[in-house]
Amino acid sequence: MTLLSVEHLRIALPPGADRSHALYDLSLQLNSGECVCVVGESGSGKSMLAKALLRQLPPPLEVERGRLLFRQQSLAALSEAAMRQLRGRDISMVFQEPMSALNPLLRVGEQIDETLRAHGVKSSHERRRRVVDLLGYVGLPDPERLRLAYPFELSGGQRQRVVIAMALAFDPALLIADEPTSALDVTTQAQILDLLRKIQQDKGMALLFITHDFAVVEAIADRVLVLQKGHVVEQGTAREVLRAPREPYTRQLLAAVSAQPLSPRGTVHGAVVLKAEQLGKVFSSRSGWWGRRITHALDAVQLQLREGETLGIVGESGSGKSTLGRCLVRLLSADSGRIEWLGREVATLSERRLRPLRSDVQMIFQDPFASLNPRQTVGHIIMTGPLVQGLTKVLAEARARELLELVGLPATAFERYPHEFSGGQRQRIGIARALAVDPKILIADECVSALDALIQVQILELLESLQRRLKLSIVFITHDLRVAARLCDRIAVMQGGKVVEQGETAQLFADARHPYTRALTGQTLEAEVT
Amino acid sequence: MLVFRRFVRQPSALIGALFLLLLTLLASAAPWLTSGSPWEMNSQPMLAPFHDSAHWLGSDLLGRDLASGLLYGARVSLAISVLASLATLVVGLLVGAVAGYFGGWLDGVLMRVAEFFQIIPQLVLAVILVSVLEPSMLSTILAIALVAWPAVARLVRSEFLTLRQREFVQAARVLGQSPWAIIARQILPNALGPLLVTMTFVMATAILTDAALAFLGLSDPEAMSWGYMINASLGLLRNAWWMSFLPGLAIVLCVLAVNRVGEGLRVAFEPGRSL
Repeated sequence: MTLLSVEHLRIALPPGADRSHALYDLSLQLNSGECVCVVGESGSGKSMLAKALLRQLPPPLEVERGRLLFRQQSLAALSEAAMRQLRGRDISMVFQEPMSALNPLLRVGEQIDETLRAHGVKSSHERRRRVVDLLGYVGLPDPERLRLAYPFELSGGQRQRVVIAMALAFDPALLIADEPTSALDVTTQAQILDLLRKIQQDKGMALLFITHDFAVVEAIADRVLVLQKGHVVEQGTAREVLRAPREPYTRQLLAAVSAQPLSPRGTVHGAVVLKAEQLGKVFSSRSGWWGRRITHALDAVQLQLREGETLGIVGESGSGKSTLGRCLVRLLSADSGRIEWLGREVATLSERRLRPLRSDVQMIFQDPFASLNPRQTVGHIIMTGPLVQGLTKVLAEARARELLELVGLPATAFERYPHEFSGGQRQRIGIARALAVDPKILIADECVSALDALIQVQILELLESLQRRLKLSIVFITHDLRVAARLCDRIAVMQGGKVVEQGETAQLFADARHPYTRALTGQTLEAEVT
Repeated sequence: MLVFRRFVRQPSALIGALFLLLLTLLASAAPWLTSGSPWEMNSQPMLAPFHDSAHWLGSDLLGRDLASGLLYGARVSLAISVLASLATLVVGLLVGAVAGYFGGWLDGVLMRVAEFFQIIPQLVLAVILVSVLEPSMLSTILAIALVAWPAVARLVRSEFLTLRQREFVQAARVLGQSPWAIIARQILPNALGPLLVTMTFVMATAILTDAALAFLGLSDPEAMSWGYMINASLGLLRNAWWMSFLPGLAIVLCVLAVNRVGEGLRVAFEPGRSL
């Protein structure tokens, strides 16, 4: 039976937006017990669909044309009170960021309790039983105790489970999940997807799953709808769309998430340019009155990077990979061990002595929005490095213009401010800034993880071509093994501050030794679309 | 320029700014607008306002013209508050920037010193300082700056602490930019908004502190000021209320205007938080 049907939905954007409509003409049928994935890049309008279904479009947006039918009844015709009853009871929602969906000051049990009370469960005894049931049902350990925990005491995955438990409070007929796994680690992501799949089959619930990630589609979808800039590009069963995509855009998206190397990579025989030996870093934080909690962010890490080589550092959040990157570029000082830049020991060098050497090792940062000074023009940002090196203003400007061209940005970018650029363009500016001082070594810390899949490929390709042209050596830090596989000659896998395995990329995929690596590659390969 | 447009769009802030501008113009033109020294006893004493066109705001106990007193008072009040704010800014910025950027034990020491100044009641400290240093314009400025800098230093420090962690600052470090260049070119321009807003409030406080000191008789005996005028006419509050009311009104309007400008700046810098 058709539970939800969307007919010719069209949502207008306010004048001055980048296009006239958020969604042009979207039609969709969703049956009970079925999972439909809506796939698209950021700005494709996929979240607008969810908001329209819940009648929570941010003003001034509104449905211009089309009908939304839930159980054959038009959602537009419902009163606000009836709609409120529907939300949370028959239609529930799970968001991307569990921390912002939870009130940080309330115990998680109380938050679920609140939902139950808001929809009229009077008996407090019954509510409490239901809370414990729900927390247990979503696979949280020891629900009796966990219901008294505050959100900050839980891990990201556990928080998302709590949010799912909240959404399931009334056995909704339709669950809308908007990127519920994007903020989670790869292994946690797989667990949450399993959970959602299990619940959906268990309860015969309909699931509308919004995502940008084809790996997620493979894991969970019955049917897929591909959106591009508000237009439905392709719609069909998951099998059809994934195995035999009809549209070029879908094919492009699928190619973007493959784990095949961008180009065949020969073996590298260059000299060692960067070396870390027995690197250790300890963070200690106060816990309680006298106690100190000690975290080994880095534990005897050994690495070396040859000229022209790309070394991937892969690990989940908290594995110490970012700390490693920051130590290698000496933004942090390691507590023990040695770091060599081009054969010169730098781990213990003072900041002042280090400064003249800094141009050899540069960094590309994760967040394309936070990594550029909002008050400087792009030209000034790129000129910073050359000016520090002592170039005259005229020469530095010439150098900056040269780099804009090198990273594929128009010359007009020079006078403009960072906020006028998209994420991918900003990342190019960040790369230009790093390259302006002629570095030998680049350390890229999650430099594509904030970008859309197609843009990711462009930036990876840019990095690779720059590497070939400028003989760069790159340390590529990422949480995404698939991305690492596309670019890296060798990969080091980190867990709990240690490098647990290190090897040639192909070999690592074919024959991983460490159980953790096997878990990572297993999941990635499973999700890989060929 | 967006900031400027958002500022101009707020009536109260615009009126405040125009009022201050007008006051500054009048104060700088005081020697030409009045008949000379504000101390000159040139009329019948205790003349009520609007009775004599030559002294339209009336005169005080000794027959000194109130209008010229107010104008010359504005000179003193504005000069002291601007200079004291600048001095506060310099000290607060320096201490806050060093504490926030370098951190560590230096931060600890500087913040303990700031706390030391903050736990002493501000006016009491100012009074003690001025009386020890002999009342003069310089000592008033010094006293105001000395009690006001910890607040600015703390603000600058907290701004620096967050901005220091931002990736563009780290990128500048990796590029080898020196700490002082990073502070001046990367961090400071991004901290300017909140700093400017705080400075207006420091200035309002400076006007009040200056008036309070003058009222207590701790001001430059050579300079006519609003606080002094209130002090001199206090005994005649019931017979000649306007003599203390007019300078009081001047203080209120001036502080109000500065405050509105500050509020307007705050809204203009952070449009998101205006509601």
